[in-house]
Amino acid sequence: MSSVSQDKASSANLSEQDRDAVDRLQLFARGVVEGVTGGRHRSPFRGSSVEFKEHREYVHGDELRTIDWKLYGKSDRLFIRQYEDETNLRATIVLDQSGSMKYGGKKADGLTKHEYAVRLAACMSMLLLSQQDAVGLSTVDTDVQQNLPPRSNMGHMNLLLRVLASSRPGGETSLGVALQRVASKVKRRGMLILISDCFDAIESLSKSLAYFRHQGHDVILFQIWDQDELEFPFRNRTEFRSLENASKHLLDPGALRKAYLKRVEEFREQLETETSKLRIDLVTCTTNEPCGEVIKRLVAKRQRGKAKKK
Amino acid sequence: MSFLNIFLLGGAAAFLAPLLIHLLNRTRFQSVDWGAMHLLESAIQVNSRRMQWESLLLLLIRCLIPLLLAFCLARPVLTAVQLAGLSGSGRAFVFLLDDSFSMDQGDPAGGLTPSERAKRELLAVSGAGKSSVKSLALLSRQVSPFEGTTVDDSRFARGLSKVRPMAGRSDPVSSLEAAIDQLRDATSTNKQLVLASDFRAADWSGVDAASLAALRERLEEANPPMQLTLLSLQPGSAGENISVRFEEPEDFRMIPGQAKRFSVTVKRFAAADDGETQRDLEVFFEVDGRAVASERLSLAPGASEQLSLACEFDTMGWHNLSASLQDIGGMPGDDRAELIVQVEDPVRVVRVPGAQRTRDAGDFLRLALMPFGEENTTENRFRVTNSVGGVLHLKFREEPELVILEGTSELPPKATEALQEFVLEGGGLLIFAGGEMDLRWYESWREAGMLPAQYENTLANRSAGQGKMKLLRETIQTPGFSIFNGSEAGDLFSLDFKSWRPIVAEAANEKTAGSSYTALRFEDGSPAVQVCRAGDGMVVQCAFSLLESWSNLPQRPVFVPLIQQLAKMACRGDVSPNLTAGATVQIQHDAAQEGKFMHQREGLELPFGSDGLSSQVAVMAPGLYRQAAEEQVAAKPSQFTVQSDTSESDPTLLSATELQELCGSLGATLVKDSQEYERSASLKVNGREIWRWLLIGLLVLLFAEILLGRLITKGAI
Repeated sequence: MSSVSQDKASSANLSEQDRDAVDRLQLFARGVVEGVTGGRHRSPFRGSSVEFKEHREYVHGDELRTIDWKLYGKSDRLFIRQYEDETNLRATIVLDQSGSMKYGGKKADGLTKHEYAVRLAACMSMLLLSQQDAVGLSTVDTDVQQNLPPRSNMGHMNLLLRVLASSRPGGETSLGVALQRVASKVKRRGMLILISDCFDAIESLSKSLAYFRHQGHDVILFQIWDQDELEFPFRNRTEFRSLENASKHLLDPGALRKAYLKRVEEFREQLETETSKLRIDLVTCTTNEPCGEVIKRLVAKRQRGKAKKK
Repeated sequence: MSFLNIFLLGGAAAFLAPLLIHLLNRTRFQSVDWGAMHLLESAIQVNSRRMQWESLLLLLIRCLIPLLLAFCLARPVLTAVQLAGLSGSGRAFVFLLDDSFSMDQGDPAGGLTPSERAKRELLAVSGAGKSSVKSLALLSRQVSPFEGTTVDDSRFARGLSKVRPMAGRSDPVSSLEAAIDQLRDATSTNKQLVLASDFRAADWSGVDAASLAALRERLEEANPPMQLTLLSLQPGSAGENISVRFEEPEDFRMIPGQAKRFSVTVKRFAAADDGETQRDLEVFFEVDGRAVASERLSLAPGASEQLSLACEFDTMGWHNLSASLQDIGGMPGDDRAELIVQVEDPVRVVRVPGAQRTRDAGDFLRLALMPFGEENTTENRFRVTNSVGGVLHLKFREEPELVILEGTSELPPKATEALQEFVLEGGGLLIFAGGEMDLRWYESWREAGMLPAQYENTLANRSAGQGKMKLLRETIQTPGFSIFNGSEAGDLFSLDFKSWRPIVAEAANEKTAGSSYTALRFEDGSPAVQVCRAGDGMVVQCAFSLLESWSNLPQRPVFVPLIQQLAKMACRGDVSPNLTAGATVQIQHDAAQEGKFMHQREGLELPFGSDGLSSQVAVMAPGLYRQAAEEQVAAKPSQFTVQSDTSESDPTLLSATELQELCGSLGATLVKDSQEYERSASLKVNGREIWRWLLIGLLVLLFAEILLGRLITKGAI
């Protein structure tokens, strides 16, 4: 694991290719975020992870959600809770860079799930930083490979983009273990944004996510699929080689298609059930879907959730 | 199996094509670096065995398709059923024709009877085989109208046309055995046995599996094996039939002026669900060819009714009774029943009392033989004269018909000589045992072949503690004694014997061995009544006496019927001239003479005599048989009747399943007509082309390949 500081992550350490990638990412993310936030006046993300400072008497205009109802019960007077840091939330983006993320099918023009995840992470970073929220980043496979603590200044964006651009998928997946490591680095409550295909044991992943939820983190899970993985469109005899290990299978895809799709459906249902139980926002997307649309779906989903709570 | 285009069979090698494609496909594949491997692997784990089987099945089908196509084009001929040496010519046929009267059952639609169809089909079959040797046998085992074998079709046709379906129930097993024997002697290598029958349940249901298996073994053991074909002439439905039949009278003899009633049973054989509930009938009675009465009745399906005909004759001799139904359809063979009775004077009986004679015993015997009183001359069958008061040997020469020795010790030499002469000339002798018998005298009779067995020296006695000796309780088969199997004539088995003179069955006389038999037995198996023929006469030897001190016989109701029956048996043999179809008639006649009985209505001939034919003839065709007047020879009986077997009257057919099972058991081929027979024969000779079946199989495989391929790749984009 390597912890990347702003000093270390200077532009001099990046290759020409990565620098181009950073530039493209920045442009891409900016475009996407402008599209997402156009006409919007209020962030869907709330700073709820700040520490308590003192009570203040309620005055007209204060938000009702800030009223301390317990105190009202004791004193019969309305007070609102004030916090030490009222700036913004602290979001940590966890990017899965395991081998399975390396798959890129024809329908996405060769865009791999990892590349898509990087774009999505850049967009989310841009969106959050534009709202003055602090954003951190961890790239994981079986362990945490790179880690950037959350910062809220726009200069931090460059650093995030560089780390994203230099991320390389490979190796096996052990998302559950990797998330436990991430948890040890996230000291304060905030938001966890996991971008992954979730090709790991659901039980292990669920256990790690439950830990975050228990700690009071707001968790968003972007599950990324390639369209091929959802349709299994292969006709001819095919040898399937694992992107994570040495296993391979030579088979007639037609004969197995039905069984495979059934298994995919079961997997998705299982993940949905687990995330629903943990009240995690699950956003399933495919690599041929525009990132902006995915983020809009997330925003819409969260606003629906907020409306329900009210 | 052989092939008409054997070179095209090489195309079968094309089955290698799908195999090669399969193997090539195994080496040619695309590679994909796959991410969702854990999902793919779990799907493989569950479905790998199924995929393997599907793959193998598909491969098999794909290999079979070119293989079957090549077989089709090569036009295979199945010759598994082909038999060496079979050909259309040089066949030896034995045609076994069912001549039971059920074959004459009319067709309600006006078509041919089964018998007529059988003749037509057999002619067609026999005519198809050029220069084949044919012979004809009848299922009733009556003498075939066509003797020996012939290659002449016209001669065979003439013989066939003479067959009249008149016989009663047939014995298929023995008929088939005889036909196999006949066919075995044929020199041809192609031996065909064709059995044409309507396959009624009455004839075939009783045939046991072991007999059928034995027949099959005999057919297959022949070298070359004989081919049995069953030509089924079953009508479309069993239809219905009505039979009329005289119940056999207790006694066929009457005396002048005696009034007697004869029972006639009319039975309607039909399924209860035939629709028609009642059927009105009229039964016509004739006596000696003259119509005497008619009676109307109404019968439900399956019902029977008994009518009676009252008769009284003044003239001596044979009289013929008949009952008939007219124009009722069904089987004509059982629409008429015949019965004959003999009217004659009472039997003259001479009694010779023994030394132990008591008044009671003599009275008992007179009572038994003349139960209607001594003055009644129209009811009593016997007229008894005592030997007392006359010279014995002269008594015997007064032409009595029966002499009864009541435990007689011995007779004077002249009387002995006269008695022996009397018996040899046809008189009857009934001997009751006694305590004072001179056994040497009886032994001399036995040595002369005039006594069935030897009496023992000592009497057998049962003391009070031992219990009484009884007659062996069994179904009595002795002719005339069957009346004692029921209860009408009294209980024969309730008789208690305290004393009796045992008859030594082991010491049966060699001279009488052929005609000697035991009519009744004691419980210990020893004879109670032994019978033998002596010359033209009969001798009945009893181990018991009529004395009250010997048994309770005179006190029992069975006494009169038993004594009457013993007397009848002794004086005339008492063989009824009224037979049931299939019974054997024993014709007694001078060995040097020959003659023939003629069926009075159908003109059938039943020859007997010294021409080599047996004088014991199984008679199958119902009706009245008499000798032709101009050829009359002294034969007993001089005439007789045969009544149809009621089981043959039952029109129930073997079901299709039963018929198939019968074919299976006999290893026979079942055909419906001559054309089917020829097709079957041709198949056996030439084999069967099976390309059509293979083509169907090919189409099925193609369909299966498409279906299976679709199933396997179902949903593939």
